[in-house]
Amino acid sequence: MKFSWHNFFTWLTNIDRRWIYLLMAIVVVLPLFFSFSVKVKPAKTVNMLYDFMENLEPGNTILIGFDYSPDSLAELNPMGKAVVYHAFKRGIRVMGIALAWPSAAGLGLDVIQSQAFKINLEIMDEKLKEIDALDEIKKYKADKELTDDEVHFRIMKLAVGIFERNQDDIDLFSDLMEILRATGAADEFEPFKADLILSGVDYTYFGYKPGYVSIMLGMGKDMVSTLNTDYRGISLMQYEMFNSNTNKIKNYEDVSLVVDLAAGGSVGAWVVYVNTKFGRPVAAGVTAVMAADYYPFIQSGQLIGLLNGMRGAADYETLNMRHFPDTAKPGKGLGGMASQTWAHIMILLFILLGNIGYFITKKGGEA
Amino acid sequence: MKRQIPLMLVLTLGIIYFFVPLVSTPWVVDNLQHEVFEKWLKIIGVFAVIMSVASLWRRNAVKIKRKSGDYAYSYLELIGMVLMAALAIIAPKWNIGNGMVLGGIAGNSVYNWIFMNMQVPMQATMFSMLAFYIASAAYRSFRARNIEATLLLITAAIVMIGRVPLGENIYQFMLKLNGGEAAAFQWSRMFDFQGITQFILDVPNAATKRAIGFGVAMGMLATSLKIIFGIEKSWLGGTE
Repeated sequence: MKFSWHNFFTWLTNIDRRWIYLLMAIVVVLPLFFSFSVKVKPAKTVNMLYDFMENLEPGNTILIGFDYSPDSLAELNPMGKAVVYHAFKRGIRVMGIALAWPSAAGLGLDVIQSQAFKINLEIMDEKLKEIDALDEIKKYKADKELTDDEVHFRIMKLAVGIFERNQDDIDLFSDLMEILRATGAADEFEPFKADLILSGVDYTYFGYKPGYVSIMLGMGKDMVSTLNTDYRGISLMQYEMFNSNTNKIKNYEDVSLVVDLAAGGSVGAWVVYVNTKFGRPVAAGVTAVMAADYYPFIQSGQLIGLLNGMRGAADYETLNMRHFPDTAKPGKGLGGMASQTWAHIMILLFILLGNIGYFITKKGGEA
Repeated sequence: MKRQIPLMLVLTLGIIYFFVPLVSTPWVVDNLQHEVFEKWLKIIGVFAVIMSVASLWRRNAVKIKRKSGDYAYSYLELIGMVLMAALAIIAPKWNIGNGMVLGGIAGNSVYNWIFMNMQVPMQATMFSMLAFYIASAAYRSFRARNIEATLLLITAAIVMIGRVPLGENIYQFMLKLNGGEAAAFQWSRMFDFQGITQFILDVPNAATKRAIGFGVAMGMLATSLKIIFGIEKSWLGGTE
C-alpha cells in the first residue's frame, strides 16, 4: 500500500490505547531507576510559606492537618516531610491531626515520626558510631544479623524511649538495652536529651479525630478537653507540650501556623473556621489537580502560602537543601520531578500528534 | 407530624445558627457553639459510624448468604474490617520480634504495618491509573476544534511546561541566546514558562475561581434559605 500522511495519521489516531499506556508507564517508571539531577526554582507561594516558617521563633508551634488518603500520598507525603523537617530543624514544635479521612491517621504518623527519627539519627550520629565500635554491640549485631543502620535505629529508639518514658519501646529491644546499660553507654545519652526530638515535648500526633468542624472549633477553645488523647490513647495532660508552666499549648492562641495537607475540601474549612474565626495564619499543601482553586485565597491573605502538587514538595525540599546543606537531602518530591517532566513531555507530544492527525484526517475527509 | 417536626427543627436551628457566627458574646459561644453544636455534631458523627459499619456488614452478609455476584470479595471485606478492628482495639501489645508489637495502632504495630504495606500501595495504585487515562484522553480528545478549545489547549501546554523543571531550562537557554539579563530587548521572556504559568494562576485563574466561588456561595445561600423556610422539601424524601 502506498504511504500517505492521511493513512498514517488515520492509523495513528486509531492506535490501540494500550500502546499509549505502555509508553506512559515507561516514561514514568524509567526515570525512577536513574538518579537524574533535577533543579527547580521554588515558586512564589512556596517561598511565602518557607519565609513564614523562617520567621517563627524556636519553641513556636505549628499544627499540620493531614487531610488526605493513601491515593494522594505521592504528592502530599513529601510536602509533609519537608515541612516537618524544616520545623524540627528550627526547633519549632509540631502537632498533627487527621480530621477528614480516617485513613490519613497512619500517613500523618509516618510523616512526623520519620522526620523525628531522621533528625535524631543526625543528632546522635557520632555517639552511635562510638557505641557501634563496642565488642558487645558487634556481637549483638552479628547474632541478630542486623545492618549498621538497623542497630543505630534501635539504639536511637531506646535513647528516645528513655526520655519519653515509653516503656513499650524500651521493652521491644530489652536485650539491647541490657547491653547498653552493662557497658555504660546508656548513661551517655543524657547530654542528647535537650536536642532530641521527643514525642510530647517537640511533637504530638493526635491521629484521626472524628467530628471535623466541631473539632476545629473546639480546638479554638481548649485543645486538651476537645482532643483528650494522642493517637495512642495517652492523655495529653501527660505531655510537656500541654502541661508545662512556661510554654504550654491551650488553644489556637498558642499555634503560630496551621498547614493543611489536603486532597479534598478541608482547606476551605480551615480557612473559614481557623483563619477567619480565630485569626490564625493558615497555609495549604494540595494536590496539583485542585491547586488552582486556592490562588484566590493567597491574594486575599487567607492563605499565607501554598504548596502545589509534587512540584510544591520539590520546591520546599530545594529550600531545605539551601538552608541545611549539610543534612537535608532530596526527598521524593525532587525524586519524582524527572518522571513528572517526562510524563508532561509525553502528554504534550500526544496532544500535538493527536491534533496534527485531527487536521490531516479532517482535511482528507473534506477532500 | 413526620414532616412537620423536621421542618420545625430546621427552621428553628437554621435561624439560630444563621446568627451564631455574627454574635460573639461568651454565652452564645460557650452554649450554642461549644456545648450544643460541637457536642451534637460529635454524637451525630458517632451514630453515623455505627450506621455505616452496620450497613456495610449487612450488605456483605446478605451477598454472602445469597452467593450473589462477586460474593468472595464480601468475605475479604468483612475479614479485613474485623481483623483491623481486632488488631487495633482487642489484640494485646505483645512483642512479636523485629521491633513489632501485635496490638495497638502505634507506628510499629501490625495494624500499621498492614495499613502501610497493603492499603497504602493498593490505593496509590488505583489513583496512579489516572496518568494512563489522562494520556489516552489527551491523545484522543484534546483537539483544537474551535477558538475556546484552542485557547484551553495553549494554556494547558504552557502550564504543563511551566510546572516542571523543563520550563525553567528552556527559559535559561533562551535567556542566554538573548544575551542575558542585561539585554535591552528581553524577547526571551516569551519563554519564561514558569513566570507565565504563575501569571495564569494568579490572574485569569484566580479571577475565574473567585467568580465561580461567589456564584456557588450565592447558590448555597439561596438553597439554604429555601430549606430553612420550608420552600425546598426534597431533602425530606418521599413524593409528597
